Amino acid sequence: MACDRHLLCITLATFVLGLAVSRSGGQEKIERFFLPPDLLIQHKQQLDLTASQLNAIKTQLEQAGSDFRMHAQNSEAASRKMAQLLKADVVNEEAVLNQLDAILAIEKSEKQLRLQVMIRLRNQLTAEQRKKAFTLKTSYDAQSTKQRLSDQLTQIGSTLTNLSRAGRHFPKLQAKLQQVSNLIQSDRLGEAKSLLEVIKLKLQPILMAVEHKKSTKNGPAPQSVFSPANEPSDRPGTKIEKASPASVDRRIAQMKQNDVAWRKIPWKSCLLDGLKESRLQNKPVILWVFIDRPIDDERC
Amino acid sequence: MFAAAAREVVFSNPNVIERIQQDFIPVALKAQTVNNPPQGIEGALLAEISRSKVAAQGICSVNSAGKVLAWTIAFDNSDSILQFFQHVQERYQQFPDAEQAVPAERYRRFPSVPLATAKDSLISLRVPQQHPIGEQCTGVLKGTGDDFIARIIGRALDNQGNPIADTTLQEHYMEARLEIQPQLQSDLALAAKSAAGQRFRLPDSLSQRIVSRTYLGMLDVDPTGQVPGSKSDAQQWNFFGEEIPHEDKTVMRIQIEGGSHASGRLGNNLKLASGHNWEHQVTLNWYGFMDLRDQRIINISLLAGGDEKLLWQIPNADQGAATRLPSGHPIDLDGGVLYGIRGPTQ
Repeated sequence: MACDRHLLCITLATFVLGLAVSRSGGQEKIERFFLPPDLLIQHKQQLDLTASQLNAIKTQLEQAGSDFRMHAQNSEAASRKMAQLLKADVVNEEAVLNQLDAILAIEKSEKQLRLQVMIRLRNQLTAEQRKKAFTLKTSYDAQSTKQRLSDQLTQIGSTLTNLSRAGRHFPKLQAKLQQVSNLIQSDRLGEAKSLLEVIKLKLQPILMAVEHKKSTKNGPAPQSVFSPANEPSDRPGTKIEKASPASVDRRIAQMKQNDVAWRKIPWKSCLLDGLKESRLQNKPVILWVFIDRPIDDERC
Repeated sequence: MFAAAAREVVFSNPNVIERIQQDFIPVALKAQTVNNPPQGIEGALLAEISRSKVAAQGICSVNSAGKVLAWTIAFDNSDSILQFFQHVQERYQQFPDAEQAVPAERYRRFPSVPLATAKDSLISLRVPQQHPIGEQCTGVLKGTGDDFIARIIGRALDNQGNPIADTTLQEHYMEARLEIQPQLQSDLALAAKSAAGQRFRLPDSLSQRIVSRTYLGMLDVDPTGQVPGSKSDAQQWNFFGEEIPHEDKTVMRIQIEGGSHASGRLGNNLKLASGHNWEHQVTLNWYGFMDLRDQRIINISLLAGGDEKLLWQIPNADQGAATRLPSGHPIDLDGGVLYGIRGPTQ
């Protein structure tokens, strides 16, 4: 439904598929037959997509988007349940295996949905459009890889800068990072990727040690958690001063508004209860079908 | 996004609220259960409703037998919202039950973009008065009993530092639950005990939990990058605790101080693809208290204040809010904010 979320999920799906590529040559063989949705939309004019094709593609993405979100929610819930089962002193083998089945069923269903969407998107195109799209895909893939590597480069660069601020300097890694940057600039992406992997491997134990030190550290607070760039400004009303617990509670209570419009509809959450009332009061039921929990006073 | 936009545009509209209160039985269902109905009679009714759906989420009216009168996911304009309610009420007069076939009307946008009507399955389900014994209602909010539940309230402030009065838009007023799992509570108890009365750093697991829920706007704009396709640029926090006396000797009271910064945005590929874009930064100072007893949190009172920037750009922003329910509305927030976290919830 929500285009943003659909495309977001589809692209995520492509990304996940991309991750699987490194593990399985079979996946790679499959992936090369499909076209990323953002490529189609980005190049709609070059591909000469008609309004009805574009509409059909968007509809496909819209329909799939919420489903992907639901899969993610189901998957998270199933994994959480599995974690609970495994936490027990004596693990219930049968329950764990059943839960594994449930997790695998969700994964299977998600993969089927992903494949279905990719097939339907591909089938929207004429043979000529497909041919043109696959030609574009070559440069699109390279561009995506370049972007991904650039993002990683920025992230690692930022990590090294933070370490440097904390007094830990890694000139060799910095030099390697510069090499990666040069390689990306000159489109030598394979070499850039390999070198980034080396840097990540070297950086990993350093970061783990920092994290461990942070989590076990006791003692006085640093001057500020903020770097100069992101320290909160002194806007009116935002200053948080030390106060008694009762005073803090009072201030929080003042923030809450009881007269909120979306609380005024007495939503039922049970369909059977709603239908029963519908018969009794001879009124139709209005159903709001949603992801998340907007009627539980929740962010949505 | 749909849920947020529907709540803002449709279900916060005073005329809609009045109409629903007078003429409808309002039922809110999770898409998860409608799209994957469980076993049993409730599941069969949900499957019948789901059969004609336009998308995974939507607004729908059904008659007393659970037969769909109409589905839609958007409206031509704000007037069309009330027209939809009028329209389905008229359909209900014609099809109050399953005595005759009930074709399900379907709209991508009501009333100008209808889709093919779905024929009645002609399956008539006997709706029970209540759930059969042993069948759990899918509408019951399931929580894990051991989680500590607190409520977060977020307010955007105007230039004078006063909370913005509007409570409909989530970038101005936000309420959400904060669930703290037993493990995070134990982590805190252990850290506090290990500190033996000295100032100590709060466990990252708990700090992250708090920071990741403290932002204005809808779920999609989580600056800690937990929504698929989004990207976290920075997540920093330093929360410090120090035990202070409490009149009840069985309670360990911890005074909390700290700061946090979270910054995230939509992944690059998605910007290109969808025409949507968002960026979000939240920088806060914190102060408050947590009470523990027997390794469990029994009370939280936390305040945070600082700056927040949220940009949410959408294509077709010039269209009316009722038309673009799936995309929501553009947001350009840059100002002071206040948050309060209080628990347990009543």
